[in-house]
Amino acid sequence: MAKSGLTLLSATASRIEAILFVASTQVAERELSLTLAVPLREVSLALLELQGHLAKHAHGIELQNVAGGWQLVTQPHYAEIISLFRDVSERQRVKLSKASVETLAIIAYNQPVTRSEVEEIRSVRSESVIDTLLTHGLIRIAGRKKSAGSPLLYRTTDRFLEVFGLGSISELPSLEEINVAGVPSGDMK
Amino acid sequence: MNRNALEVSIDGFTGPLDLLCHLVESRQMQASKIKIAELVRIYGAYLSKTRNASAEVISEFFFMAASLLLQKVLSLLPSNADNELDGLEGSDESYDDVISEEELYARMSRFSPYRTITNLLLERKERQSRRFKRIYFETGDENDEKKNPVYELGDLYYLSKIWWGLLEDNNKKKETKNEFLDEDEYWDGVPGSLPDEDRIQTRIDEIAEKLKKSPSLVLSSLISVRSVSALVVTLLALLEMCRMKIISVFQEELFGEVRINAAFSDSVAN
Repeated sequence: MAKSGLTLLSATASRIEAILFVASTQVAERELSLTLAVPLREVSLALLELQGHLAKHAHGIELQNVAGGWQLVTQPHYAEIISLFRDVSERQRVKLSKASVETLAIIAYNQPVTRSEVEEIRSVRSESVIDTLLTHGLIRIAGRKKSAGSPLLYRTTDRFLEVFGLGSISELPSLEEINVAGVPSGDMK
Repeated sequence: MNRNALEVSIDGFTGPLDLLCHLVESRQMQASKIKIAELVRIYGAYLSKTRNASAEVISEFFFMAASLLLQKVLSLLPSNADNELDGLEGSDESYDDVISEEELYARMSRFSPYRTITNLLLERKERQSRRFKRIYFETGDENDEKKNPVYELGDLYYLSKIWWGLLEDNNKKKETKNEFLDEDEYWDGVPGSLPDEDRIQTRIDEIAEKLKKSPSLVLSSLISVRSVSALVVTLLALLEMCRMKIISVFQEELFGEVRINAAFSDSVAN
């Protein structure tokens, strides 16, 4: 519907916007469907409508699909302005070393995985890095492996998806795709 | 290899394999002709520049470099040198854990995709860190994270951690508030057991006795001990007495005293 050059949102999209505005975490489509008592399909379409609307009319916020849910976040190009506003940016900043991200990558692609399996790939001890990742809630213990010593198994968490802006783990390229995409494996003998 | 031709951008390597992969990928070193002296020199320069490398990191690197060096030495010796080395008198060294070049190449091949993924994740993190979401201040306490732990079903490690945390909090509360609380009040948020009918009937009898002496009472006079269970039993007894039309209950102002009047003196008497 058009009025004075502006596209108005459908009722479902408007209501979803209101819910996401007050939500403290990302909201799953199923929860939106149950709350609004509308079919899942209608919610999916309304979310896309809202996402398109926010982008089209140059809003300061955008709709993002993260960790299996939807959330309203600020536009990346306003990051500098927001960093000047109180301590918002500092509170949400997650500081990770390159070694931590490397360890996360190995866990993400091999989960559930033990510490020694991570260390085997990295060729360096990873105990303290894994402890740091556990503390930050980026990985979790997912049981014990049925092998000698019953070592702990680790998995990535939804927090990991949030920090890296991933809707799900399947959004990461496969190892095969990575290898095809130009890693000079030929030089590796 | 000409030393002057080897220019390495030293920018946060995660370990020896990362450095090796970088050198090979940037074609500054051929994987089949790894110069250990060059490797040690470059990594040494990197470590001295970072100034925060732990002894563990350095030892891991030198273990790998020493293993490669030993492999080179062994390759220069006659073919049966391995057996002779193993059989050296007085030598209890085992060479089983020495990394061969083949093993090193295998490790590099296995590790290499994760370097790409790491860079990809770092880029994603950088992009995501430019997006901000609404902040919620639940208690204003800096230790919010500890008070609102996140756990996933089946994660026994976290569940047990939370359980111990709750127990500790509970014990602290016990120490500070013990004089005011009954035993059933220790677990905040956990409903206690429902009072049984006998207790309610006993309470009805007690209130009826008091009403015989004074036909008008206030609720606070019926609760001498600050106890949730005593209050619940009293309220249930009063509700039951209202239902039986033994009493009438009034509250003249909001949050004011609740007054209990005997409805019929005969009923109370009976």
